Amino acid sequence: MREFIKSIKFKIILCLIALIIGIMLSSLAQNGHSDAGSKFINTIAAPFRYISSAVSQAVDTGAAHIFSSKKYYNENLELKEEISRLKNELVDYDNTKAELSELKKFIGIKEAHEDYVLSPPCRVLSYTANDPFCSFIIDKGSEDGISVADPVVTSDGLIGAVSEISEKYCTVRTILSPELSFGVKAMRKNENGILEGDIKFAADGLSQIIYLEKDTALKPGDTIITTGSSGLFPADYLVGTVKELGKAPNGLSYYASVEPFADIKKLTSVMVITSFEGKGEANEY
Amino acid sequence: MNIRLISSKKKRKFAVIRWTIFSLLIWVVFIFTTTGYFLKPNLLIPMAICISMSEDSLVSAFVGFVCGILSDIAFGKLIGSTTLILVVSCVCISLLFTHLLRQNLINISVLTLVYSAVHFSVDYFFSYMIWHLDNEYILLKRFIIPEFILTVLSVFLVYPIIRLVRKHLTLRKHYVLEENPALIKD
Repeated sequence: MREFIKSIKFKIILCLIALIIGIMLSSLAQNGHSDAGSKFINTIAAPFRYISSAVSQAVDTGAAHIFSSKKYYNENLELKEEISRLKNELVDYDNTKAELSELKKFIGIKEAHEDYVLSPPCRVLSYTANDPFCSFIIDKGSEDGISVADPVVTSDGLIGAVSEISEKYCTVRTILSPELSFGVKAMRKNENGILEGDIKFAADGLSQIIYLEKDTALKPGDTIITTGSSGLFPADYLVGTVKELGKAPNGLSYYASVEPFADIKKLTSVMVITSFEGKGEANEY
Repeated sequence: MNIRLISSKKKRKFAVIRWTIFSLLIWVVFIFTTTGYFLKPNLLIPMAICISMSEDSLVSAFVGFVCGILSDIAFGKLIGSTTLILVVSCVCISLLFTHLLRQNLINISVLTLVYSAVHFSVDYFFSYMIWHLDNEYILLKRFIIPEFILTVLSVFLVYPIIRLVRKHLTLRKHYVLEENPALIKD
């Protein structure tokens, strides 16, 4: 052992450890920008990831056809029940009128999107392995006009925000993460709240609205949209639906679990909103 | 009878093929780790440990360095955090197998278990525990412990592959007896 400690090998290993500590400190000081090593490896790995992603998706789809017949059967039953419920709702004129009003609001959101500057469609290269909050890497970066904290969306709804960026790639932190919190409101009731991820819900692909009062007007099925008051996300963008309400563990407030409109665990492509009206007016990221 | 010494050129050729295969295996494992969203083992850990088992301490340190960096990138950790522990562990494993232990599945499984326990404890502590997140036990139950178990079990898959590659592509200095026809009496 003494010989080993005195040997040149041991000195080289010590140098290697010093190099690793240097890399760690340098990574910490990057402030949202990828370090050179990650950039290099991600660049080399990109074509392989494209291929393996394609193979993985093909296998996933094939397996779903074979093994998920029971799941589809149950889903079919659930959908039939939902259709029946919707038919009953249609009989009620007031409800129909309310739905019409809601649809008008949707059209309003679409019209409001004219101020968005969108990035080219971004392909999801890979998810961060075993991350409970589903962060992922996309194939567009600062060269495409994307910057840290830009909102990431799909046509279904809000996904998250850019957390780390390099020239050609960026990492996206999703709305399931506790590190991302922003203002939201219920579409029909104009009830405001803060959406923030939680481990308990992230495992099931859900997020939550926190600090609700006991007499909150939120109900399961309510549509949640962004308030846009913070400047991080554009106003009135679809987020998800309220799934259930409950009392917070501290016993002082209530929460509502929110199911995102987009299936965050199975994304293949997303868009980044690089600019929108009111961007950066405040910072809650 | 002649005694033929296996040439160093042939030995070098085998070493190049062996390390090419090891590099490819590490790369394939990295690509697998970054594909799809499902719970998977950190295969880079048993890979680094199994390769270090029969290597010199310096070579083991470099194997730990490469596998650690790739693991940090794939699992979205601070670059260097896994690398630091893996480099030190690979050097220790190399020294242990050189001086104390025999190379077999039981020893390598125990070392993988010990390393994984340290690795996942450190990871859990620095990534989640110190941030006082709510419902941490869900993380343990649904992500950390299953990943730990899968990683330890994956050594039963990785070890035979590494051993097979090493068995067929390692030439040590030994002598082969050859019959010399000139010496055979009529």
